[in-house]
Amino acid sequence: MNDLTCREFVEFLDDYRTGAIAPERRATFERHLSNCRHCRDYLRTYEDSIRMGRAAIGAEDQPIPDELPKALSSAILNAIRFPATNPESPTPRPRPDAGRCS
Amino acid sequence: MSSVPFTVPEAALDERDLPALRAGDHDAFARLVDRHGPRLLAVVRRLLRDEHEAHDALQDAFTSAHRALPSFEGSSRLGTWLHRIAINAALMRLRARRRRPEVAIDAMLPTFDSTGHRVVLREAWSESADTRLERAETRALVRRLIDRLPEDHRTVLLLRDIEELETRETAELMGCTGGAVKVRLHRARQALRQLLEEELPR
Ligand SMILES: [Zn+2]
Repeated sequence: MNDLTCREFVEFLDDYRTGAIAPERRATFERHLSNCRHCRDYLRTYEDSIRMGRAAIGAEDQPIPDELPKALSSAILNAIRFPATNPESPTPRPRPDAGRCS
Repeated sequence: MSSVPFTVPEAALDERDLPALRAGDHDAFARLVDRHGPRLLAVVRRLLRDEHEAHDALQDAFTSAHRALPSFEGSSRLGTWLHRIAINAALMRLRARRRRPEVAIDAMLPTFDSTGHRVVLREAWSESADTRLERAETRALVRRLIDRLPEDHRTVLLLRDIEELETRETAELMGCTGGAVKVRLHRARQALRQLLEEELPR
């Protein structure tokens, strides 16, 4: 018998696959998985999606350049040598107020 | 553990230059830009998808790094430290952008019936990811689908799955809790999965 719904399985899927689930609950997930083809498909295609994302964005198609464009490296070095010409560059601090994650 | 690859010689060169960098030596800084600039440019390009903005973000990042170097503690590698600074510079530019119209993530998530069973709209794809990934057109499709994710979800996906930051680091950079990062990452991957199911040729 399944004592976990597909909704619950899918919700906690990432905890299950990364081993972040308590050992006593793990068996429940494994039982559900062995009984439910849809959740097996879901787990497989979820992991496929991560791999496809990595491969598509990763280095192969968007290679790391051998060197920076000359104009860019000069601009960077100039900004450092003459900081007054570049007064508004931000400091490397996270901004909790930015609202992206509220 | 971040798996951003650094060759040993590069880290050794950073180590050797560190006293000069802390003292504000320009030649040492120029070498730092040469060593790390290309890899960091690739990082900000991925996040911003705009060459001009990527250049500006990289300049912001090195300016910030230059200012912060005297207080660099050396508890992480210089390359790791620069990677975080470059991501932060790109995130600041993303936040300043006018938000494009986007479809809410909910529309890309699975649905369940009243008994908790997932509503299956299409059969899952069967051809393996590895076979599909050999095709450049599949990789281009995946990139287009990732671009359809709402910006905040796309950012979490990039920081966690591509840049391989920890949940905690991602949360710090995005100014939110680790719990929020975990939820967003899961939703972003689910949404990508759903879009792939709709768009991948059978
Ligand atoms: Zn199920």
